[in-house]
Amino acid sequence: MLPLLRARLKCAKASATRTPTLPIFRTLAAMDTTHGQSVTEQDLLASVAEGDMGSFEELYQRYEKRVFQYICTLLRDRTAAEEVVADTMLAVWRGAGSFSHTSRISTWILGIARHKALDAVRRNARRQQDVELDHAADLAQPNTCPIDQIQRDQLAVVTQQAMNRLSQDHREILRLVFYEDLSYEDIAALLDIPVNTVKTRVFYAKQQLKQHLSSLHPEEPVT
Amino acid sequence: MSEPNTLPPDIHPTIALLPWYATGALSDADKAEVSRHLKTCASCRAELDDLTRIGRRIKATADAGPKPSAHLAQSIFAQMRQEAERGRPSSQSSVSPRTNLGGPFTAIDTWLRGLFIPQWVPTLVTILLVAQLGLLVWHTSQPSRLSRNGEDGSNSITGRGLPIQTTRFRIEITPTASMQNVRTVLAEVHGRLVDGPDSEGLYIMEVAASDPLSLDKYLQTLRTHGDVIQRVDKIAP
Repeated sequence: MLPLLRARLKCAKASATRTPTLPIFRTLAAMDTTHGQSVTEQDLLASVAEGDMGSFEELYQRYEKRVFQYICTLLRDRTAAEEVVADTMLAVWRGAGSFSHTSRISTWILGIARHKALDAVRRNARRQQDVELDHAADLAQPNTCPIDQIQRDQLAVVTQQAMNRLSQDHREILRLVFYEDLSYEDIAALLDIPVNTVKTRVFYAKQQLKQHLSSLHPEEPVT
Repeated sequence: MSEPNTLPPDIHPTIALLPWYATGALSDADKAEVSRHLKTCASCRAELDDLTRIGRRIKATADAGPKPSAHLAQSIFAQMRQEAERGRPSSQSSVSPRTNLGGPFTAIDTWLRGLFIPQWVPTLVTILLVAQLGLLVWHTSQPSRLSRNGEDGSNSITGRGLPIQTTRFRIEITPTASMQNVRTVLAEVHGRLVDGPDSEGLYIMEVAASDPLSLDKYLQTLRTHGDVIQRVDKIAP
């Protein structure tokens, strides 16, 4: 367990010395489990490469939800998505030693997930039912502060419904930009498309999402 | 994709960078360029607000979104442990309590397990087993070269060891002799019945000897058991 302790200490040190940023970016960065912790993740991955299972479990805890949700944007079948999560994380475990450090760890892991998911799509092409992955039920959680929580839940449900109406490409790219906080260069590398295509796709995806949000929840203007 | 691959002509090109400006994922050079533009462009400032709000909603929705089921982690970790166990070097291999019999058993068990550490051992064992099986099949399918009653191999006895010199006697067993008595006599001369009875009620007995001394001794012994062996004649070789 020593490598894990070492990694956690470095993480605490990094958090203590982090430079304050503008409120909006601080909010976004606080929600991002990668930003500001890249050193720690590198240490974690190095420990994983040495076969340290504790470090892998830590890495898994950080990525399970991100990888699962990302795969869901491509597969829209929860059971198949879980299988791909397992494949992806086992590939991370086996291939940690081969990580080239030319990209961010998150990009590397999401890249594996993407390829595995597309593989699964190809493999299951015949029996694939386009199961509508409606996260609305998952979003409803026990309320801690009733009114605020209800409003947040409603907003999340509407947003998820609007996202579900988008094409797979639009859903995917919006997630990579606004949840994974990937740069356009990283996204271009991940999706294997030109940088200009990334920029235009995000522009049109955002427009589409805005339209869906307005049609689903006309009382509440998006802007 | 049905969308065009370019931005609409009536908007500022800087707008394409705003999503990453909002998330803080722009390079310093891009960030400076966008900041300069925003100071003078109200529509891009509005677009930035729009993107910021949408970004927050997407992030909040994903934060509240589902995780994979808990048993998935357990099954992944279990598989990893299995893989790690398989790849563990011999010095770290442990004997499970189920097989830990203690003392010399443990030593033998550890030694035997050590033989199977190299990955090629199972392959070698398989090759040896297949080769042995092939040899056995080939050997049993060969016709016997120890023909006793003819060159063509008919009525032959298949010998698996060195040929043994034997002598045969034709004997007549008294009708009143019991099987037990016959067995006792045969045991005394280390003989066995190999044929008979023929139409005359005679049996062929074989003894594992050919030297005259032993044969005389066997003949005498047989003749002393007149109550069991009524008649005995040596068959000419």
